[in-house]
Amino acid sequence: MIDELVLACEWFSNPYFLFSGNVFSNLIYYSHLTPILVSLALGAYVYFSNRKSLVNKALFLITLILGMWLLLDLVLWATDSIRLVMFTWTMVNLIEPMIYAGFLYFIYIFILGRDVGWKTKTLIVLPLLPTIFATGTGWNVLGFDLTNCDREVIEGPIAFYNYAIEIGYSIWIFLLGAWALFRKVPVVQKRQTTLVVIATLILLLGFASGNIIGSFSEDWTIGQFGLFVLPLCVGTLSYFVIQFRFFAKSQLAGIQMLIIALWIAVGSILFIQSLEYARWVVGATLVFLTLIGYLLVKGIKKEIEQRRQIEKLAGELGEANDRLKELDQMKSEFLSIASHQLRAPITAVRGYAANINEGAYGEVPAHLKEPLDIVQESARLMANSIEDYLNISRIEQGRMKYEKSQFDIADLAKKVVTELTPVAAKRGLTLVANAPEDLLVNADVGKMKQVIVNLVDNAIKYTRQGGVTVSVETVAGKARITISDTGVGIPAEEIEGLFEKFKRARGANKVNTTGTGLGLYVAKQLVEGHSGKVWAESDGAGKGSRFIVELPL
Amino acid sequence: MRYYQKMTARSISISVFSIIALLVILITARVLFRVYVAEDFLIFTDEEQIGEAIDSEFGIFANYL
Repeated sequence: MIDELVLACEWFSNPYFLFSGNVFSNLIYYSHLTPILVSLALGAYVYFSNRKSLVNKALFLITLILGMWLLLDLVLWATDSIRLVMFTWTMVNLIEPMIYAGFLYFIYIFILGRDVGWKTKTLIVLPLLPTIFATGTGWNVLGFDLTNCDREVIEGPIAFYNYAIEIGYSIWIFLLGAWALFRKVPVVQKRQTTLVVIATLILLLGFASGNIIGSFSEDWTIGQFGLFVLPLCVGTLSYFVIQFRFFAKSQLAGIQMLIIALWIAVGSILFIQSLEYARWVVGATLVFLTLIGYLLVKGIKKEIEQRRQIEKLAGELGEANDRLKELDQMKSEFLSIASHQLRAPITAVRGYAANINEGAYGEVPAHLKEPLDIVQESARLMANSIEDYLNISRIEQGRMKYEKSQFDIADLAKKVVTELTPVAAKRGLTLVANAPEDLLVNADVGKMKQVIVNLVDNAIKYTRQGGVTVSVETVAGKARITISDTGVGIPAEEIEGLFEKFKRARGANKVNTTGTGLGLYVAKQLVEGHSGKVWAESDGAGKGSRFIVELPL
Repeated sequence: MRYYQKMTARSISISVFSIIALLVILITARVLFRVYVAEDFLIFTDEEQIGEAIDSEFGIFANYL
């Protein structure tokens, strides 16, 4: 029955849904296909540029719904099937107010910078409920008007209700935009928000103009011109969503997006079926091109200014760096000179204190024994520190020299143990050497002594009871010196940074107040200068530690 | 800027929007049924039929259409 009625109208058949001679305007492919392509391309671009962002997702979703509406509208005008016109017209009436609701939600989250609560969401969707529930009934689309073969439908009251809520949503968006102007946010943010609200309102106005005018005047041709603003507005919105919220890589992303939009806008001229409309289309393209050109130039200008700024800062940074290097060099030189100046007197103090203590100048009265011990020990510590400072300045200036020779490292370890035994004994600790066999290494004997002294000194400082053992052995073709103690131990997380300059274990001050955090650093530098390795091991806090030095044989 | 990046679409999926999306799917099925299966719509071949149908279907709203 329905199909027989259609035959009387002599409509063009439309096997591919979109393309047929049934369309009332030659401009319809340009007015519909261009916004579909621009919306979907930009929406997808915005979405994939930051998939976690709600505002990007919302814009993508809206462009999908907008694309769906445009596609249904195009099918509606191209088809020769009454059923398909009924279906697409009904769906167009359902989807249209949803686009407005979607934009209202988008503007909310763009302004607030966060999602809105369920109450606001409910308020936004509430006006849609009559539309949704009336969609499958005659209140939306009552029937098909075949009186003049125009392929139109007779709309019910809901179609006009839709226009009312669309106006309502537009006013809501306008008021939100006005409210945003009074918020305490940066001026740049306010300006961006205003532009986004204006772009949205222009889009909605252009979108609705055709349908509202068409519904009242039954002239649907004029509505196609309203859709011309869609690519421009979607482009503007996408640009601001990318530019405004995500500064990282935004410049490049914005430019890429504009190029895509430009390409589609120019390519869409191919959709014009008749030359009489070329002026309109080229005019619209020019407007689009002007805006894109402006944004591109602005973006590039900003980029150039930023680069100049970076270059200027880099220059200043380079100068500051040179100055710092110079100061560092001066510091090392000063340290070296000062240490040399200190070393000679302290050596004299140490030597004479030892001579006095040993009775070289007559018997030492009992009450002077202890103060002399303190002088001697303090002088030893000071000489050790000066040696560390000198080594550091040599290492940092790159002028450390190693005078290597063959010597017995086991013998050296025993000598250090003998030298430091009185120090350990004063703390009630035992200091034992476990080096049964001679072990020849090719190294700088003075530097190796400094390494062992530093490690043994360190072990004594951090041991309250028990003792320290220095073992020398051959392991896997290498000389291994192990200094093990029964001291405070080292928590696992602190072992790694132990050999850094000025690094001291947490709580080290409670056990030992004289450490500078240089001894282990110097030991490491000296061992590595001999192509050796040094590391620490500990079973944990309170379980003692082992400092191990490995030297090639 | 940072709090923007924390936002996810999860809030959409559990919100009233998902109910609306479900309703739209159901209504689309209903429209397809109405148009293609039940053919529950009128086809007007006469201007007078349109006026009569509007009067009888929409009552007081008819004056505004």
